Amino acid sequence: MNRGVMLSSFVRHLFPRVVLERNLRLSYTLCLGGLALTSFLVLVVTGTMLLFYYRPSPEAAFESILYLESQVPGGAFVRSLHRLASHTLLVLVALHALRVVWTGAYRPPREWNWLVGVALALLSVAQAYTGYLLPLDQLGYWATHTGMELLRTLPFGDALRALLVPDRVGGPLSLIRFYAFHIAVIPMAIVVLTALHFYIIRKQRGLLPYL
Amino acid sequence: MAGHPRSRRSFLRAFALSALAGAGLWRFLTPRRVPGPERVQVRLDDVPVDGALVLPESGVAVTRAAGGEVEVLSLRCTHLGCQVSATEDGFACPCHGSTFDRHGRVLRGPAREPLRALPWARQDGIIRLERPEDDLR
Repeated sequence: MNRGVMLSSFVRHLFPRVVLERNLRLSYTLCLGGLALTSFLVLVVTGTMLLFYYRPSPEAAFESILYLESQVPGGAFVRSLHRLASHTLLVLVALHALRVVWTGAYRPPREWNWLVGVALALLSVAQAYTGYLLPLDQLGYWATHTGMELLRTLPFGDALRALLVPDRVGGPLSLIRFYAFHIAVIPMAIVVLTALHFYIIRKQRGLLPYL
Repeated sequence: MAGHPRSRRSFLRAFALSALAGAGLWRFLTPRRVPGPERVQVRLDDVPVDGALVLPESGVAVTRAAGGEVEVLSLRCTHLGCQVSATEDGFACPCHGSTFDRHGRVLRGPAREPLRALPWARQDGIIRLERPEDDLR
């Protein structure tokens, strides 16, 4: 199969051929999952832009944020957008989960997709949390201090903490570790699970034209 | 994998390989801690009588009562590990508002334990102490 055919067939199958009219009502899903995906895409774009200026070392991190905000045209805007989109994503994910409970969409045969969704929600929180430390401002620094203490109260909390913070909170190793989780590990997991989430919807004939 | 049930042998092999890979990844991600305890020394003359010498970088305060008794307190809040600041009559934590008196005793929660008193030694007017590793986090 040549590339053109593959691409067009992929696009064709991205959207269902037939839909149920009652599923097209806006009140059916309120588009919350799609809006969450949109926020995620905004985060990917703005996050990639931030990568060009952010420097993940304790000495340089805060300074690189100040530089971005004061010297880079549009820098403050892009950073604010990233922050705002992350808040929006969490709110939309929570509302989406509420909607799924409201409409009973967590029940069989969709129970596996509910679990994938829960994993995505937890990953979104982890993503927000790891991003919070990166500017190394006072708020993020102390919030991470307290968060890491709270982590230790969990079963295997000390092991989890050792994975996240090998030196000390805000130390060079832990900063770069939060960075690696924030820009690589967690986003990749989110992309894979989101693809699976949508695949299962299509597979189970959740007939929504925009999926 | 319908129609191809996994054999016990292949399951065990996959299980052993993942356990091995997991253990290797764990070793890779948890290097030995290099820093060790932090050594601090201050001159006794630098500590004001009826006051304290606060060393935020080292995370300790050396206090000296009006009567001359010296105490070394860790600035690490016993609630969730933020660093307390010195106030007029003790210490206060900026994170959740715990306050402590000059001896590190809790005046107001959420902290429930007093600030940690660290052992120290005096030699020729110099106070030496080690801030243990578990207090550094």
